[in-house]
Amino acid sequence: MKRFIVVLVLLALLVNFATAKGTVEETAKETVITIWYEGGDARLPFFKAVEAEMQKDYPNYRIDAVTFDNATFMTKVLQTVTATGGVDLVFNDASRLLTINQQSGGGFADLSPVFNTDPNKALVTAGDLKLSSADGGLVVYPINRSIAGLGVKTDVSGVRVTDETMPKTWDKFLALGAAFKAAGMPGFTMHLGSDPGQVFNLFLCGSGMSDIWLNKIPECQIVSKLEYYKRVVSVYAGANAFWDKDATSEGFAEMYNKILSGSVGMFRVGNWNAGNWDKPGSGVGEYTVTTWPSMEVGMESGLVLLNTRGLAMPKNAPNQEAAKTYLRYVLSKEAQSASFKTMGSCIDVSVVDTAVLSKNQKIFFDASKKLFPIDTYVAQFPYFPQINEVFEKGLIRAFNASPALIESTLIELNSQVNKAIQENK
Amino acid sequence: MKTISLLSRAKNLGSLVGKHWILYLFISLFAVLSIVFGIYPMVRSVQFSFLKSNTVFTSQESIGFNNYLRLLKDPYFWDSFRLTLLFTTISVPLNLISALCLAQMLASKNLSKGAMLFFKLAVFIPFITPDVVGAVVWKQFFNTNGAMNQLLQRLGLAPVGWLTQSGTALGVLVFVELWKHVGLYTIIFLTNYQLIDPSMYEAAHMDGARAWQKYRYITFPALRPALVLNTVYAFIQFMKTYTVSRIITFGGPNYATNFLSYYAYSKYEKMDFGSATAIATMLFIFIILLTLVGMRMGGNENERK
Repeated sequence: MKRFIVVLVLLALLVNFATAKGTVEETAKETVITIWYEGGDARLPFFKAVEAEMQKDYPNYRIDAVTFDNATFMTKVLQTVTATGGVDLVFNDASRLLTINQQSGGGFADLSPVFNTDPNKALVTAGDLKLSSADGGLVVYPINRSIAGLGVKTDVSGVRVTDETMPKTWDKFLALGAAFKAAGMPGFTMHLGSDPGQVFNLFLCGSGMSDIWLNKIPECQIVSKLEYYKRVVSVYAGANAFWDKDATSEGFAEMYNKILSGSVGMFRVGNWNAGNWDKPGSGVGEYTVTTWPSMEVGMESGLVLLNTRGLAMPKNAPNQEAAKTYLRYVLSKEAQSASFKTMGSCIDVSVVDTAVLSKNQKIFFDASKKLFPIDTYVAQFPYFPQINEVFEKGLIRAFNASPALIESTLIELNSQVNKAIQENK
Repeated sequence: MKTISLLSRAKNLGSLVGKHWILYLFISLFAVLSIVFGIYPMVRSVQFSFLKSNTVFTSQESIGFNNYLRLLKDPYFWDSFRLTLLFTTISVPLNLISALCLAQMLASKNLSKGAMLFFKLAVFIPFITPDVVGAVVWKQFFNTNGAMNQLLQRLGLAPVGWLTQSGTALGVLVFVELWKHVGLYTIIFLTNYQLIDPSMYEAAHMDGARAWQKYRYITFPALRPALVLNTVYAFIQFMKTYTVSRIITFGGPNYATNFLSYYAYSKYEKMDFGSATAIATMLFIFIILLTLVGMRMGGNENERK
């Protein structure tokens, strides 16, 4: 009996020892949050900065961040979200993440519960939320903004760019474009080989308009804004056109090449561009960024919020609690500062020392400038890709139409979009 | 009886494999790679073409031939199909005739060894130049402010919108594809040229044959294997044209260079996987059918000889 009790005690001690050891291991167990992001290695310091903040409270959490080009990112994430799983957070433009969300039948989690308890949520504007949400939920946790203004070259001989001639109104935009053309360079450029709808977002939303080609029902809105569509198309195809003619066979890369060779008068400048383009030797030359021209007297003139960039969490993420924890740090001052340093943009503008901003970065942090978000339809209609294809094809036809046919082409496009809506509804 | 015949066949095959096992081993390795990396994706692509686009990675909802029917009603698809055929119809003979002429010149005994090497390299280098690099350079060359227009202006001529007008944009792509591919066809013709027995020309000369007759009755028939190979390869190549359209024109202006491969890609880019794979499948079937017809015709000609 004595021997039996000794054995029992020894066993109990052994079990206790083993259990205690297990607990220690569990505490020290590392959780790895897998993040996939678009944009290249230059963005890695941002994710590391958030990790460093998080590790102050959660030392056993760490990240594994991998970057992909956009085409790979889109299909890889779609496949992962819908089938294979294995990634905790994905980072990209909200519009792209919303597209994946739609294509995957709502593959991303609603992050509203995390956002609602975020101490920094007040930094996020209604515009940011509009571009980051779908089906009443927050799909993309906003980290920074893509804002676009109008760049105007100021070093072209024969073209006087003063307060008086700055393109604050449509007429002044036309006059300045004509002046650049007379000086021997295209007055304006914006790629049309891909995403031909963006230029309307810039000009129409930049004047404070919304629902520029679809309303909430949806019905096509081109005819109701026909005059403005005609004006924009006429800059390319009209009798006095001054838009770079090669634009119809160009995408983003070519557009940037043109701008960086200083060979166009006016162009889109993003808040992510200005810092680099202001550096000596960037190739852009002397330029200034301003708000988009108001299309009509009495209309507003502002910068355009093209997108938010942020993180989405797949519903099949393996480490959801850790991923949510990570999200709680992306709006912290340190993370926002890292966002500004790596991407030239952030939600919390207070982290930016305006004294160190370059000349043309300043406008993007100027609270007195109006900021208009573009429309986002992708999350509203499941058949959006089908109607968007009709819209883009019609725009390309309009840009290639002879001046006399621009109006009828746009009216026809309005009917085609409505027809596509009925067919796909 | 049938069983015996099958058994004896299997035995023969077994002994053949045993005898040449190294050969079978190497071929099998290649066959496995082909199946895994070539045939499997192709089969999946065909499978996708019968699915609703936004369910390809989820529930895989079958919609039968709907993707195909939608394309058959799409005027842009038909324009793209006609355009691809037109481009191929122009490019195949243009490339083959140019390659024949170049091969004829390169086979000339009047060229020194050094000159022949130089010209061979000059003709062949575009073929080994990465597609994208070549396309980017030509795009810069033909841009509104590119070297071509600067040259025209120096000659006192008006600049041309090479890439901004439908006709000229297509012409530019025909030219760039000629520059890119003619080298390969030339080298294949040249190799075939060098296999022709020179004594045949000497005999023809003795018989009083003229240059054209020598070409018509000796050279041309001897080049038939290279001609069949080049024709089939060129046909496949130009039906699948993609890079120049993607890099130089983005399928524009106004869809003037929207070849089928590019149209499929633009659908894929918009995540319309069903339509993209349906276009790819139709293009694949069309190319296979016409290639078989071409090979059959080439084969028949050879048999007749």
